[in-house]
Amino acid sequence: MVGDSKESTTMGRWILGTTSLHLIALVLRGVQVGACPVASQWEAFSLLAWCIAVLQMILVKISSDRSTLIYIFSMVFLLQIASTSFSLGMAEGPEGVIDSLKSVHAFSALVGVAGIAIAGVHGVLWIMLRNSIKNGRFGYLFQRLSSLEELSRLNRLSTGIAAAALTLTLSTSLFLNRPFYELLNPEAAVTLVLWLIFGLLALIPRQTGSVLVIRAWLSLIGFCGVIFIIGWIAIHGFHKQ
Amino acid sequence: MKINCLALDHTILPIEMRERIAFTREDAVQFLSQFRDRYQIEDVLLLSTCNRTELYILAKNSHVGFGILDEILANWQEERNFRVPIRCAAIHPHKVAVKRLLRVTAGLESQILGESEILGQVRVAKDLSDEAGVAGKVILRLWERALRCGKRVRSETHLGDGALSVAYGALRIAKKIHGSLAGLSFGIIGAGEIAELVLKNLDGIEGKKLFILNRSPERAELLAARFRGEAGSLDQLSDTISKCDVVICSTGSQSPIIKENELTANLADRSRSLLLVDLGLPRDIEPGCGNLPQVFLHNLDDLARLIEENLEERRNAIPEALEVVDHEAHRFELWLNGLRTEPALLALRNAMKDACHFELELVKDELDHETYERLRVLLHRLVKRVLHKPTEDIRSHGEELEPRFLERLESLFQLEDRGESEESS
Repeated sequence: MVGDSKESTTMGRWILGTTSLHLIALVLRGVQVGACPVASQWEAFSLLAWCIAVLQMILVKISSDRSTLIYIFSMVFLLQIASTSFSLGMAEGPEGVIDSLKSVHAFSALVGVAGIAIAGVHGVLWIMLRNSIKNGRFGYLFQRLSSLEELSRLNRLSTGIAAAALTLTLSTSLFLNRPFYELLNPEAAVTLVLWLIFGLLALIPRQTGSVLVIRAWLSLIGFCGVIFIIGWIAIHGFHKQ
Repeated sequence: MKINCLALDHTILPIEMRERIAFTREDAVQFLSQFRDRYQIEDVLLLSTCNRTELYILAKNSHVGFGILDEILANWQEERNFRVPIRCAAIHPHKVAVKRLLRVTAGLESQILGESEILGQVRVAKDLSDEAGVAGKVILRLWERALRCGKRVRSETHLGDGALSVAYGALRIAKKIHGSLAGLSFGIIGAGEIAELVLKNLDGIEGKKLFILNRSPERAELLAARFRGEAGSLDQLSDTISKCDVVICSTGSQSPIIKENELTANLADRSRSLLLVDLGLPRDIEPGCGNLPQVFLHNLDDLARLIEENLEERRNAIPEALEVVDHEAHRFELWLNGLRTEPALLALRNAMKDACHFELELVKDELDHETYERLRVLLHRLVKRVLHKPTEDIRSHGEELEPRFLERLESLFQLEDRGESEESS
C-alpha cells in the first residue's frame, strides 16, 4: 500500500464510516421520496458525491493505491458542501418524485459522471506526474503519487465503469419515450459526447507500460465535461425534471 | 613539505564542463607520469570521477605547489575549452587540501551526500599513482588516512545510512514509471564499477531480464554470469534498447553512444515507455533523446536532485562526520611533523658520538692502545644507552610531539648546522 499503513488504516476507517452514514442518509431520503433521491439538483450532488467516494473506494480495494484519495475526496467534499448548503433552503418533502426507470436512468448517469470524474482526476495526475518525471522535477507529486502505470490502470478502470454506466443511462432513456430534441439539451449532449469518448477509450485495450498521452488528455476533456454538467445542473436543474 | 590541491567538482562546473576534464585510465596514468621529470614531484594523486577531477600534489612549499597547479589549470582550460568562474577557488592550500581529500572520501563533498561509490574511486586513484610511479610516501599516507576516514565516517556516523546512490535513484524513477520493477527488462551498457553497482541494486528483483553490453564482451560476460543476464557487445545496442524498459549507461566512451536520430527510428512503433539513465561522464546519451514522447532521460545531475529530497538524516550526521575528518586530519599532520624526527635523532646521536670522540682524542696519547679501545667501546655504549630510551619514546610518540619540540631539540643541541652539513655530505 502507498503511504504509512497505520495512518492509512485510520483514514480508511474514517472514510468507510462517513460513506456508510452518507448511504444511510441517502437510503432514508430514498424511502421518503419512494425513488432514487434526486428530487432536486442539490440532492443529486449529494448522491454524486457518494458515488464518487464509493467508486474510489472500490478502486483502492482493487489496486491498493491510496495515493490519489486526497484529490478525489477533495472533490467529494466540495460536492457535498454544495449539496448541503443549497438543500437547506429547499422545502422538505417529495416534491419531485420519479419512477423506478427514471431512478435507474438518473442513478446510472450519476455513476457514469462519477466514473468520468475519477478517470479525469487520474488522467490529470498522470499528465502531471509524467511531466514531473520527464522534466526531472522530483517534488510533491513525485513523492506522493504511486506510479504512471498505476494511475493509468486506475484511469482505465474508471473509464470502463463510466462507459458501462453511461451505456445503461442511454439504454434506459430509450424506454422513457423522451422526444429526440431533448438530446440537444447541452447537459444531455455533453453526456452523449462523453459516452462516445469513454466508450471508445474503454474498447481500446491499454498496453502495459504505455505512455500514450492521448488517453490522459481525453480523460481530462471528460473531466471538463463533468464540470460543465455539474455547473449546468446547478444553474438550470436536470433536463425535464 | 606542503600538500596542495586543484579541485574541480560539481559545485564549480556543470556536467557539460565536467565531462571535458574527465580522465580515462590511460590518460590519467600518462598525465601523472610527467610529474617526476617536469616538476620533480613524486607524490601525486589524481581523483577523476563523474563528479570531480581533483589533483593532489606534495610540493616543497605552498608557493611552489600553487604555481604548478595554476599552470596545470591554465593548460586544462586552454586544451579542454572550459573556464573556472573563480580560478583561485579551485586551488587549495595545505590544510584545506588535506581535509578536502578526507571530506571527499567520507562522501561529504559528494553530489549525493555520504554516497559510498567514492571509496572505490579513491582506491583507484592510488592505483593510478602507483602505475605512474608517483605514489610517494606522504601522498600514500594521506590516501590511507582518507580511506580510513571514509570507513570510519560510514561505520561511526549515520552519513552513509539508507540507499542513496545514483543507482538507487535510477531504480526509484523506474519504479515511478512502471509501478514495480518485477518482470522488467533492463539494459546495462558498460561493465565498469558503476554498472556493477547498478547490477547489485537489481539483484533482488524477481522475473527481470538483464542484458549487459560492453565494448569488450569478455567483461560483460563475466558480469552476465555473475548476475544471471545475457551478455553482448555494443553492436547489439539497438536491439537491446527495443527490448528493454530501462537502459542504464555508464561507459567510458568519449562521445554519446545512444543518438537521437537512431533512437527515433528504433522507437518509431513503440508506445511503451523507455527510461534511459545516463550515468556516464562524458555523457553516453544525446540530450535530444529525452524529447521523444515515450522516453524519460535522466543524467547524473537529475539523479542528484532526486536524491537530494531524502537527505535529511544524512545531513544531521554531518557534524559527527566532520569530527572524524578533523581527527584524521590532525593525525596526518602529526605524522607529517613526525617525518622530521628521524633526521633530528640521527643528528643528535652523531653529535654525541662526535663529542665523545673529540674528548677521547684529547687523552689518546696518555692511553695504551688496549685502554683506548676499551674506552672507545665504553663511550659508544654509553651514548647508545643514554639515547636509547628517549629515541624510542620520540619514535613511538612521534605523531603526538608538540609542534615546536623538534625546533627546541635542534636548538638545544645545536643540530641545525650539523643537519645541513650531513644533508649536503
